[in-house]
Amino acid sequence: MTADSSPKKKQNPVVWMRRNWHLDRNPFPQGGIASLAREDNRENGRLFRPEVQPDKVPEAVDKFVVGAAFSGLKFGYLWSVSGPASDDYRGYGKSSMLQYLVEETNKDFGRALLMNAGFSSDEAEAAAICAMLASFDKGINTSLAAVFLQATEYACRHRYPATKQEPEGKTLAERLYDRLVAKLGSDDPTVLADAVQNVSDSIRGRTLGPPLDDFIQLLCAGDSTALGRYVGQVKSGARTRVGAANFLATFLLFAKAAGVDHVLLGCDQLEDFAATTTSKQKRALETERFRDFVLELMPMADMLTMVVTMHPRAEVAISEMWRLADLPSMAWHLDENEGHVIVLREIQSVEQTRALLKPYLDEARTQTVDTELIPFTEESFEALLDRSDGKPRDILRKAHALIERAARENWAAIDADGTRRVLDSLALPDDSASDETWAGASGRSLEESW
Amino acid sequence: MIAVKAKSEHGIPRLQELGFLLTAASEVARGGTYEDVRHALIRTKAQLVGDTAPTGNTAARRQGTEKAGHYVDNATGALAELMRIELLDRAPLPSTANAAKAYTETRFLLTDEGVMWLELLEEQGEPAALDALLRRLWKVHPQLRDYLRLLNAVDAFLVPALPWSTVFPHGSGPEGRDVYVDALVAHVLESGDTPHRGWSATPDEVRQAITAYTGRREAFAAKRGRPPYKRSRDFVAACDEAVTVLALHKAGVAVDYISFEILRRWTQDLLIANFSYWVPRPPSGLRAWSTATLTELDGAPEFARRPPGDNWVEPVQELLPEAFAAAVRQEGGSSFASVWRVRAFVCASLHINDAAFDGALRELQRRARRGEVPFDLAFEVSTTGAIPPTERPFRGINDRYGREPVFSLINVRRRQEGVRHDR
Repeated sequence: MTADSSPKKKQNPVVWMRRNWHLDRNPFPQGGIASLAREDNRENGRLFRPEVQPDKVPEAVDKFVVGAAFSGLKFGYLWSVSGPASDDYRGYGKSSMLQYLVEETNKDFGRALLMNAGFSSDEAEAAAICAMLASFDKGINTSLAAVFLQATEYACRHRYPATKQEPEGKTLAERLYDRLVAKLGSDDPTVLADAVQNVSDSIRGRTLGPPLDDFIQLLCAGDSTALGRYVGQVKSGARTRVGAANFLATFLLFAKAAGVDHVLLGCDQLEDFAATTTSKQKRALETERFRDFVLELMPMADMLTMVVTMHPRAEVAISEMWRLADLPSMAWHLDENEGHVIVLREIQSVEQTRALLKPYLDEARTQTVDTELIPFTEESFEALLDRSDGKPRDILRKAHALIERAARENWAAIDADGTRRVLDSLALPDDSASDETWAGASGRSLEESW
Repeated sequence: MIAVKAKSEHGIPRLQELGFLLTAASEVARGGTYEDVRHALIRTKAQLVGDTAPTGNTAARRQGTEKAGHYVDNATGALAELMRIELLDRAPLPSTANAAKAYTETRFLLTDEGVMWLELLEEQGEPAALDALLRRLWKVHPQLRDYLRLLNAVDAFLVPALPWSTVFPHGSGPEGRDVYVDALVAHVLESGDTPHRGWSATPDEVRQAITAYTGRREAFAAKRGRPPYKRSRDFVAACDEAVTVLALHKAGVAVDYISFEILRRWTQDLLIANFSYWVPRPPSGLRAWSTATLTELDGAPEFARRPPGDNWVEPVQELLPEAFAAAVRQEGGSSFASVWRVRAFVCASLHINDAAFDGALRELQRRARRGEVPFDLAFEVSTTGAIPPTERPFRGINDRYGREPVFSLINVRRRQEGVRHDR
């Protein structure tokens, strides 16, 4: 810590950050819960870099992207498992990593990822793949059909927000539209729609019903605004019904017409679907639907690969039903599941900590600085890692708290001693003041008095 | 008003917590009135609620908005029991909430033995006081004696149980009850080969017991114009109660189901027995086992207990991987198993109480963090509603902020090299 100890009135913390550290605000998120829809890049997972999990991102490409494109993978599971130092499975960056994987895949239909994995340009082109994102929640998206609709909304409406390093991205629907136009050599909506209908006509086997004609027309019109409005207008009551899944089925036909045969669907928050507040009967029914929708109904059975973020509670709640439905085991500790399971663990090194925090600093920087980590140092990062549980969310929150305190105290820099002192003074972590993780009563049963 | 008669033997009082006896006696010793005792019991229960699984007990809430009638049953029950075991002088007690209003200022007197017992509690602590209490309970409650003798004669007293979903994986309405009873009878008989389970019965006896028990409930409900069972699980619970009472009677313990529920809880608190519905071994059902070797000398019991302590760390460490594997097999091969299944396996195998297991597991948690055991332990936080009412979550060691987490799920796995340990 290097404190300004003069008796004069301290500067406003944000003014201090701007004048002394060249940061336009606290660079780090207070919550650290990556939420796709947030515009604030601190909170939407946009600043995730693969160097944070240097082994796991290539592993995810190998297992999930290559698996989907070449090996017929239908289900992949992305776990986070705590080491002995912690017993909380949240905040390891599963959602951010899944977002990263999806966005990187969509940039060029998996071409760069596959070529990095060793495939040739022709092989990568022949196995073109795109990706979508969706999440269960405890509100409307409690059924697989609702999640499929949400994935379609993602594909039609979501653009990655711009950062200082990258411009705003196109939607997946726009990218597929461009690809379809290039493939057919025409942007005539009728020609494009015919191509999609031809894909539909070629399907043999069970489907959810005929594709949604209005949806195909809009996908092929190239009007993103109208398309987004159309997908977004489905009423909440209709979102949970089976028919909602037909949006995804129709979108897959569009992708196939554009020459993309494989679609990776990243599905987050399975624990919400599997919550014990959801009746066992509903959980059993939805688990059966996973089988029907992903393995048996066309075009999903041919095209879709689901990558699900996993949580112990979700696993316990549905693993028996999952097994009865003959779906691939999700257990992360079994060697036989190695091919379709990835386990994220705590950050171990200062290099990973730097890879995690530096993009946030860069994003908030108002001008180029000589010392790129300012107000931090390598040593303070080391101290921060040492005083955290090693989970990215915990590190980000602590970095947020450090910046707040140091700016309030008008420190010139945040050194290792200051980091330790501030973090040791925090009474409680930010994430658990109100949850039910902790013993609530002081009393003990008599049995424990022996 | 009830007058506590000077009989030599009594049934099991409807007393939720054995600890209420300690609370009530302490309150009487402080000169507290009946009303003070009632309030003290509510406070005691409120403190305990967070410690146990969700039971629907609303003591904590009642502290804020309590009415005069709350906990009258427990206050009267505790005071009456203290009179029966001769720690309080006999005196009239209210039997209804309405009558309790006339007793709010009533005070009670400890006997000489009661005073000595409280001195023992103060000077030597709860274990010594509970042991002395047990000797007194032993004298007046023949059902307690019979139950403990039974558990000391068998490896584990077993009452097979059958979940509705095992018989009807795809669900069934009330029309499935006859089929369920047939399946339950068959399940009970199939498990008759389990060694040393403590009792046996013919198929007719099992069926008759179930029919009679459920029939009584149906008649009771019909009289009040209510459905006897709102859900299938209510019917399953009634069948389970019927088989349990039959099993106890056959094993020589003449006790009704509620008394048995109280007995099994008391004997856990007294550290002389344990039970669980979740031991991950076939056949499924309730298992109860002794955790203290009983010897009787001139009608007085001696219990050689197996209290919590470091001596259980090694045996628990040895059994933990096997217990986890057994629990996982019952949970569809998932990565995590319910901590209470693992605990039940170990406790039933070692004939120990939950407290002994939990103490050992906390020590193993510490050692695992230092990389001193051949496996890693992972836990997952407890969630309300996910814990069976007869089980408790596991209180882990304090985190870096001094908080005590509670867990409901556990994973035991081979230790991974390179994973960072204690920070």
